[in-house]
Amino acid sequence: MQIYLPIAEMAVSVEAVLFLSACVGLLSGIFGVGGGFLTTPFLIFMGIPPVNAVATQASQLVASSVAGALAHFQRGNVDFKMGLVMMGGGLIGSFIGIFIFKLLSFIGQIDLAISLLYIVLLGSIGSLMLLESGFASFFKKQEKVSKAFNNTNLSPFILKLPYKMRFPRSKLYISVLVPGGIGFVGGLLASILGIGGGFLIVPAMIYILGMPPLLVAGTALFQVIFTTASATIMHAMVNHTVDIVLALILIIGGVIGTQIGVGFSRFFKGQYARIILAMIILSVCIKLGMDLFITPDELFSSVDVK
Amino acid sequence: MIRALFIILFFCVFSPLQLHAEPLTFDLVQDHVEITSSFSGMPLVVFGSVNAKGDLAVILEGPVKNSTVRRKERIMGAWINRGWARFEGVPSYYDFAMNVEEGAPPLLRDDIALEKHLGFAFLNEAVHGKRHKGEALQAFRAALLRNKQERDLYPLASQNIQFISPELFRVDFDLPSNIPSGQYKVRVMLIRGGGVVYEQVKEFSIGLEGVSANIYKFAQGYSFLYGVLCVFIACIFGWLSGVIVRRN
Repeated sequence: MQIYLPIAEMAVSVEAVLFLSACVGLLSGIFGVGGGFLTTPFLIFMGIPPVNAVATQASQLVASSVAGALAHFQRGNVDFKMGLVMMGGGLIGSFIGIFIFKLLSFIGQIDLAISLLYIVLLGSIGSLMLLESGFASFFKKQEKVSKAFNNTNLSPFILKLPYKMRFPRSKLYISVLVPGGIGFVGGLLASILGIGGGFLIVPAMIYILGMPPLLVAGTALFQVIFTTASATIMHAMVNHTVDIVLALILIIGGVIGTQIGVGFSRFFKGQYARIILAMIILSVCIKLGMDLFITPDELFSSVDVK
Repeated sequence: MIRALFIILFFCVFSPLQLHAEPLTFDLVQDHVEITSSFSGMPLVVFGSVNAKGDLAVILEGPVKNSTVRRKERIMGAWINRGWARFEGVPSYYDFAMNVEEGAPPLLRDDIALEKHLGFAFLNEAVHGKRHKGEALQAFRAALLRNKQERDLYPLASQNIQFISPELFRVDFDLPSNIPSGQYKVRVMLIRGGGVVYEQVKEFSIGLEGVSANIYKFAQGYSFLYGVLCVFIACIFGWLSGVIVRRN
């Protein structure tokens, strides 16, 4: 069934988009990753303009991060104070990201920027996951929250930063610039790439911030809600590129896929699952790289402006 | 379809009477095209009668826009947009029909065809390109045309004009699903000796209708609220999804 997207101004096949978002939802159900980094490139492969794909995907991520954060909240695994500080940085990041996006569109380099960023991010994450099975620890929450304020693992540079604040839940006494900065990068990525950036934020929270791994996923998801929500609203206001019809199909497909994925995840052995996910990430990266480096059939592209 | 029959009937009955009034008259089966959420392209039919000697040309043109054409160049192995040219006054959609066979001599003198936008070879020239770099503008012009043709916004060749009787003619245009909305013009020209002897113009609109139109207007007019609505809907679905997971 074809449906007309009023904002992207084109017709797409509902089944194709549902299938795509259900597949990504399946992956996020199994692996506990957001999956924005897969949906956006696939929407672009399907012929949806990158500007619409990025902006609309941001709204789909609001749904998936709300669902994820709720689950962690009920187990009490969210550090709200930390999440709010990260959110502050995230909101500034998403705001600046929108204008970088607008500027890149204006000079005609947005497609290149999206491709390059994806190649770098997916390439490094995918190969890291393949090489290091220890990456598993990022997604698991095994360690207990220790009693004492734990600043021992942090680098001296981070300890010297000003504006220190106590985070009782995480047992940290640290400069707000660090979580704020991590949130800022997440916000930039949400606006420019239409991803939550979990695969970057989560390792940063563990290694740079030294947060207890138990609290990392819930806190990251909590702040992703706000950065993706802000990116959605900003894209809607500045670029008019959020397509609510496309967003609805993506969200519904994602919900269905996640349910199936959560059921599947019991039968998956962690190690093999991660290798499969790494393969998928790397093949998307290779496809994007080939598009960039192989001589295209048509060297020219055109856009109509009013 | 009933409207189409009426128009045919109208022309059958009245066209002999108009012999001395106008050499040419036509109408469209639809006076506006609605893009609904199930829109996947549709035909546009032009009916008319002609009672003077000469050749016919029918032109369908969409709202005029400016186009930026970019060319990729190889930089450090990667193909990156580099050179560009901007073209002003480009019809966002264009289609045309003539009653001449392929390979026949052109109907109009080159300068008149240019002015009247007949045939994309001439339309191509009619585009006013601004030269921003030293590149040959012609390559950019040809690329713009190619690009529009690939997206079904310009035809590959002219359509046929079918004659139902010596006076009555009909043209079937095919509107694609990605047709830009806006005010469209249909022009029918009677051509003799390389010049236009009579021309008639009719306008019609292509616009979003129903839910699509409301969403578009809301997104443009109240962009902040629209963004908030998108986020709100996403939150509801996220919450529902969380509830379902816990039930299972």
